[in-house]
Amino acid sequence: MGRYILRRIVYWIPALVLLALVVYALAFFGAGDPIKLMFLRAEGDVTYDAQRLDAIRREKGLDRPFLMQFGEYLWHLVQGDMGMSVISGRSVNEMIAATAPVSFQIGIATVLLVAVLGIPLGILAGLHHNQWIDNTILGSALFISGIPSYVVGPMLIVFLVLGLQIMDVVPYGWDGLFSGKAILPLFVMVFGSIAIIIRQTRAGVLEVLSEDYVRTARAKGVPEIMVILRHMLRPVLTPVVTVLGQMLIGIVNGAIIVEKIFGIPGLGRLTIDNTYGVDYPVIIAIALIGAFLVMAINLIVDITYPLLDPRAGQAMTGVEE
Amino acid sequence: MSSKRRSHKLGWMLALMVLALVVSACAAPQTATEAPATEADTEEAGEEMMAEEQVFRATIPFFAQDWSPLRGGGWNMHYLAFWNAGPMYLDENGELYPYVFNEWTPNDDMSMWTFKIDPDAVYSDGSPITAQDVVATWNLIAHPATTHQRVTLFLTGVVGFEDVFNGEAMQMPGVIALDDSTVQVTLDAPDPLFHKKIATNLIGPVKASIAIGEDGFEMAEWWHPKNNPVTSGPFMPASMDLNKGVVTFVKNPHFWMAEPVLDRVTVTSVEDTTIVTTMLANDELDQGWPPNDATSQQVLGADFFECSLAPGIGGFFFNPTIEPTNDINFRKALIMAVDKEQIFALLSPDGRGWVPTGEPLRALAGQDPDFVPHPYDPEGAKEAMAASAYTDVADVPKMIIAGVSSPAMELLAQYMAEQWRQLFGIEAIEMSPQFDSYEGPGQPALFRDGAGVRVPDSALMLLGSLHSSSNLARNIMGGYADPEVDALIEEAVTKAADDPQRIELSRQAQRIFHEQWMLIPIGTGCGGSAKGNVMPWVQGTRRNADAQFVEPWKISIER
Repeated sequence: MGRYILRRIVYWIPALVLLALVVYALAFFGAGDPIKLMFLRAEGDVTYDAQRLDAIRREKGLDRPFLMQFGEYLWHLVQGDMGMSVISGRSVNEMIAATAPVSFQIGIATVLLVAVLGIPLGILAGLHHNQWIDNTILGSALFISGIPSYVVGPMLIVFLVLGLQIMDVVPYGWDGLFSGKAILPLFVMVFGSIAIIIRQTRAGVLEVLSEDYVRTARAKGVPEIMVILRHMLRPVLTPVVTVLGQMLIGIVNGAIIVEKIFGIPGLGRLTIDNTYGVDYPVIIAIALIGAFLVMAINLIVDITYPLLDPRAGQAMTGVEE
Repeated sequence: MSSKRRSHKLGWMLALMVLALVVSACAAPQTATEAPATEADTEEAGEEMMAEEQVFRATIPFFAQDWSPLRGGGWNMHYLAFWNAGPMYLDENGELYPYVFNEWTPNDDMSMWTFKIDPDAVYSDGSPITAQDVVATWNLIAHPATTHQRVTLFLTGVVGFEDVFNGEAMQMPGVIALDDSTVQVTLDAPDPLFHKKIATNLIGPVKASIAIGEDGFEMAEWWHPKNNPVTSGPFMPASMDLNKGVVTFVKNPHFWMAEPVLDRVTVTSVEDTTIVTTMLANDELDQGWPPNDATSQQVLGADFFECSLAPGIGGFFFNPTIEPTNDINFRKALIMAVDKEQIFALLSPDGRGWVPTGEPLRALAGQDPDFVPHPYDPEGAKEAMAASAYTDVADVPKMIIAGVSSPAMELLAQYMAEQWRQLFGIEAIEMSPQFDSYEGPGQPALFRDGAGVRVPDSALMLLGSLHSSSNLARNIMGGYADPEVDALIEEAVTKAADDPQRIELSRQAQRIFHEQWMLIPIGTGCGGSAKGNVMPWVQGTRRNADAQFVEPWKISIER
C-alpha cells in the first residue's frame, strides 16, 4: 500500500506542472490584461492612457515573453514562492495561507454534518422505501437543495435578523468555526448538499436489502440495528464516501457564493475577486491548490475503499489478503 | 485483514479528520495585524470600555487588498480623507481651505506656484511634513510603477510630468523644494486654478523615508500597520485584516488641525448589497453603499439617498470615429428617437432627481440660459435617418453599447434599443457590461459613462470631459477631437477664475459639442448622497466633488 501511495504522489508532480502551464497560458493569452483591466474597470475619471499602461507593464515585468515569465514563475514555485499579486502587490503565499484553512474548515465541517445527517436519513428512507417517511425525507431534501444558495442565504439573513429578529446581528464575517457566525453559512452549505447523500445512501440500501447476506442475517434473528450497522452499512458507504470526497473538493474550491454572501475569507472569495481582475499569480495558485486537493482527496478516498470493501484493496495492490 | 482491524482503521481516519478540523479551526481565525501598542493605544483600549466611544462603522462593496494612499482610486479611496492629509482641500461647495499647505502664491503669469507648508503640519509620529516629502510623493505618484489612477487630473502641466508619467524619468524638474517648508511648481503654461487642482487627499504627501525604498519606488505594504506606517490625516491605521476585509483607524495623536471627535473608524468589505442594507437597518453599520432601490428606500428611509444636483455629465456617449455613429444624421436620429422624460422615469420611478438635459455646464457658473436640450421627436428622427447614409436598415452595422453594467442601465439600453427597432428597424445591437479594450474590433458605438469636475469651474469641467486629452474624449467617445472645441477650452483655462471670458469661451465650446449630437443624457451629478450615505445618527458628514469626506475630524455619532 505504501508503494502504491508513493507512486500516486510522484505522478502528481508532472500533472501539477502541466496544470500550471495550462492555467498560466490561459490567463496570459486569453483572460485579458490585468493592468488594462485595473484601469478599464475602475469607475469615474480614471486616467486611461495606452502609453502609460505599457510603462506599467514594463515596470512589473509583464511585457516579457510568455516562456520567460512562466519559467521565472515555475522557478519561484519550486522554491515554495507563489509570487506576488499583480494588482495588490501582496504575497500570494500569505493570501493562500490565510484563506485555505478557512475553506478547509467549512468543507470538512459541511461534509461531516452532511454525512452525520444524510447517511442515517438515507438509510431510513431506504428501509421505508415508497412509504411516507421515504417520501417526506427525499421530498424535503430535494426541495431544500433546489433553492440556490444566493437566494436562501440573503433571504435567511433578512428573515432572521429583520423579520423574526431571532438573531441580533447579521452573521457576516468569520470568527472561526465554533462561533455563532458559522451557523448560517454551514446551514446553507449542508442543506444545499444533503439531498445527494440521502439519495446515494437510499439507493445503496435498496440495493443491499435484497442481498443474500442481509436476508440470512435477518433469518438468523440478528437485531435489525446490527443488520444495518454490520452488514448493510459498509457496502452502502463505498459510493457515499466517493461522493463525500467530491463534495469536499467542491466546497473547499468553490464555495464562492456562500463565502461572498457571508463575508467568509476563504478560497472561494479569493478566487472570484481575483478572477475578475485576471490577477494570474493568484489564479494559478488557487488552481494548483485545487488540483492538489483533488488528487489528495481522491487518494484518501482510494485508501478508504479497502477499509469498506476488501475486494477494492485487492484490486488496488494486486495482493490477495 | 480482519473486520475488527478495518473498523479500527476507519475509526482512526474519522478521528484524524475531526482532529484536522479542530486544529484548523483553532489555528485559522485570523487576528488582525496590530500595530505595536503605543501609550495612546493603551489609553484607547481603556476608553473602549466606555459606552460613549465614538465609532464610525463604514463599509465598501469591494474586497480591497491594496490600501496604499498613493493609488488615487478604488472604493477604499472614499475614506482616504480619514487618514491622509492633502495639500489643501475643497468643501462641498468648491471653497478652498488650507491643509498641509497654508499659503500659495502664483507668479505674475500664473505659470509658477509657490506653496508653504503649515509649520504645525506633522505626521502621526510627530515629525514635520517637509517640502522634500511633497516633492518625493508627487514624483512617485506620477511614475507608472505606482499605478496612481488619477494623477493626470492633478499634475498634468507640471514641467517634466509627461516623462515621469511614461516611465522615462523619475523626477519632475518642475517640482522642487526651495527649503524644508517651501515647494515650488513650474508649469508648462499658465494655470490660474492650479492650486485648486491639487487640493485633494489623493495626492497628499507621505513620509518619504517610510514609503519610498532605496530604489526610488514605493515599498510594498508600507501603509500596513504591521510595518508601523506614518500617516498625516486625523486618523491612522491601527489594524488591517486584508483577508477578512476589515480595516480600523484610530485617532492620530499628532493631528494638527483639530482633535477628531470620533475615536475609531472601521471600514469593512461587504460585497452583497442585501447584506449592506440589512446591516444598516440593524444598526451594525453607520455608512454604506446599498442599492438605491425601492426595498432599500423602504428599509433605510428615502432621506438616506438624498443628494443635490452636482456638476457633471453622464449618459450614452457616441463614438464618432466608427460606423455607423460617425454619421451625424444617424446620431441625430438615434437621439431624437429617445424620450428623456421616459429615461428619467425609468431611472427614478419615484420622481426624485432631475430630468437629464445633456448640458456639460449644468450646475456650474457657466450654465447656459439659452441651452436647449435635444428634443424627443420621432418624426424628426425619421427625417434625420433618411438624411443619413443608412436609409436602408440593412446597411447599419452591428452597434455595441458598452457600460451596461447594472440592471438600471440595462433597462435604459433596452428601452433605447426598442425605440430604435420600432422607428428604424435596427436590431443588430449588442449590450456589454464589460469590455476589454477601447481600441480595435469590438469598439463600442455607444458607451455609458460620465465625467464630473473636482473644482466647480466651467473651463475645467470641459477640459476633463470634452477636450481631446480627456479620458471621456479619448476613450469613451473613441477619440473625439474637435480643434475648435479644444482651442476654446485651452484659451478658457488660461483666464482668471473670475474673468467672464472664462465662462463665455466655455459656453462656446459647449455649444459646438451640443450641435454635434454626441450624447443621450441619462442624468447628472447625483453619484451618491451628499452626506455620504450615512444613517441619521451620524452628524457632520459632507462630501466634496472628489468623493472625499470633508473635514472628517468633525464627524460624530449622536444617538
